[in-house]
Amino acid sequence: MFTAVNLGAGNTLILFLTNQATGGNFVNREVYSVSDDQGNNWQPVADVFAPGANAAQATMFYAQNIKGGVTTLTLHIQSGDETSVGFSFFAYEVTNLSGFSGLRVRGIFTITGRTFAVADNIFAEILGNGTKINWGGVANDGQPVSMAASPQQLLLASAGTAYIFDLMANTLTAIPGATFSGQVAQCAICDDFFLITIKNTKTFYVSAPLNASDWVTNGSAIVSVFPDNIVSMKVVHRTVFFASDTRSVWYYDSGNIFPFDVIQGADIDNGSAAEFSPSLVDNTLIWLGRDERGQGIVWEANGYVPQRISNHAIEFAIQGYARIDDAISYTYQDQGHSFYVLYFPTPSVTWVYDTLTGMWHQRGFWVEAIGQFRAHHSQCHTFNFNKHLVGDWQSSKVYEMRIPTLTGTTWTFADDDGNPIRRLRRAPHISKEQKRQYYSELTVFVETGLGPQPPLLDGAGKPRGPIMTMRMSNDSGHTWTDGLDRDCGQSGQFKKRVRWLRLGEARDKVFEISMSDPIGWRIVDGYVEFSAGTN
Amino acid sequence: MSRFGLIGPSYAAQSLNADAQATINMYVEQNESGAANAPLSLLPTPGTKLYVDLQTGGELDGAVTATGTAAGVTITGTPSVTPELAVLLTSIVTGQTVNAQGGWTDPNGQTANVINYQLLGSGSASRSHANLYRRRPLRFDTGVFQKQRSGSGMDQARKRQRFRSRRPAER
Repeated sequence: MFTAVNLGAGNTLILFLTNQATGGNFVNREVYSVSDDQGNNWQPVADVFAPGANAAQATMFYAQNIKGGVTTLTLHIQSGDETSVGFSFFAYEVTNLSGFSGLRVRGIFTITGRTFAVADNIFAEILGNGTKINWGGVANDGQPVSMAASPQQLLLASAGTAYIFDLMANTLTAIPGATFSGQVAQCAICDDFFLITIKNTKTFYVSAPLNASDWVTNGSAIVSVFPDNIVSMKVVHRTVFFASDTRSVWYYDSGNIFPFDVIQGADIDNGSAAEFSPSLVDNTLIWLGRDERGQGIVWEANGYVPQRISNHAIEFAIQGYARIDDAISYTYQDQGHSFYVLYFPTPSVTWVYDTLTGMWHQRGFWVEAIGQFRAHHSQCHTFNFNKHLVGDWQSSKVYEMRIPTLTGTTWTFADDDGNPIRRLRRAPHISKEQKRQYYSELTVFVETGLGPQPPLLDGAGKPRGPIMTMRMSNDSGHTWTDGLDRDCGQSGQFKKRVRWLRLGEARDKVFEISMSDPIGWRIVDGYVEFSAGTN
Repeated sequence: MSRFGLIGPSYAAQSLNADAQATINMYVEQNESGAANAPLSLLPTPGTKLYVDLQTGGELDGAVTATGTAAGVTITGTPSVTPELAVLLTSIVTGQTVNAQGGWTDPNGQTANVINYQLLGSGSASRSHANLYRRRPLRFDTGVFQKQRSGSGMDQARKRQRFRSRRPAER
């Protein structure tokens, strides 16, 4: 509890427990958890050990984007072997702290039905029952890891070091740094040859077939068809895509003594703007581009020809970000849609391209305290156990991701791990040569009667249906009216209509609807009734 | 009434007067039957539920110890924080710098400022061997950690279940 302190919304609280002041017993952070009366999300960060000690001297927790106000903290202690604990308890309120580095799931990968993930420096296997096994530690630079595997070996590139996980013996071994001419950047596998690129060079290494321990037999080569260093590497269609920051080229397995050679004609004057932006989808490759003339176009490979899939609006957004070379992508397929998810850490924005419709949308995590969207809490993906699993960029959590599902009258996956998902649609302008028009009605054709059971409650404790809020702009989207709520029907009220009447006049009107209640919102159409003026 | 394009993608042009469309946490699906109420629908993007937290469990601590440090913090000047905290930050806060005012420079280069600091107190508590899995909340209040009353709803339910299981089966 901060005595007589009103905490600021959106700030960060950092909490330390230490045994130094008391000399009491102290145990590791898994024994403790923290909560507060504001419902802030507390994360354990790390323990500090004295050399040779098996119990932590101190541990730390934090909560970001706090709700503010007077806050009472509660420490929970799990019973264990010890008979007593003693500690000092420090708390800091911090402003403007955007993140803790090293707190993220840096990669997730599935091979032969087994799923592996790296969070910080932990290399772990995720099991089908929602538990995990830690198999060892890897170097951590906070950046994504790349993984590639055969049925026998998993090769992992993390923070400049390559590791082999033996899938038979379940042992993790670092490949000695002297094996390569520099720091390892990315890894891949093509035709049973493992590949590794070296940071800030044009060099790539090829292993012996199915043997990530042998990098001598085939050795290394340099990409000579472009003058720059390799930024990104990806294997697609039995070919290897190498991109610098200005150009790209495809290699293939030629069967020669050194297995890989350039595909004639498969070089393009578009490079990669971000090392981890290329991802495979629909049998091709999508990446965030950069070349000698500029950056910030999203490309899709059509054969060996790049095809622009971003549009001016997306490019205007992307090119306005302070940094895009740290962008990270993943792809997945759900309900027949293949999505390319592009996460920009610096502005904390997630853009998603649907390859089926060719349309873009945004995904975001709504932070109520600051009234803004942040990026969706995912930066890597795998599919296993009949589940889409995504790794968080802000914690060591792996989430199951699924469209909202109604079972009986209960919704699941209609929120983000307990946090409301704010959904928003801002419609196109309605204008006719900028003449005044008079609006009498707006109807949103939404599937109603999908409220949960027991029902949601209003401020007075009375049952209500899920709420849709409409606001409108009469000046082309620059300023907005206050929101007007409409009830979208408690469970079974399928005939409920959602409409707003007497909406005034405007020369250029924009409607916006938003919803946050935890149901599967399905909007079929929208209609407006208006009469045209003459001036 | 007229259809006005409510269903559609994000498209916010340089000029909002040209186009100000936004679609957040919804995506467009074409109704492929050809006989639907409308050609396109707007559907909800997925939600998430925790599957596993990779950082829980004792083995991580071993990993942290093995690397020698969980961090790479540099302390410059004389932090206005307590010596204990300086030691903690040295070992805990990864890649961040504590400056003379007790602030942090975070990985994105932003300066974070400590605006409130309180030593909330110290405390101790007895813990039971009886149940390795039950968590006992300690609530901080006026400088002392106080163990909350046991007998949560879950505990009561367990007791009732245990009691029922001892009763002979009804005939």
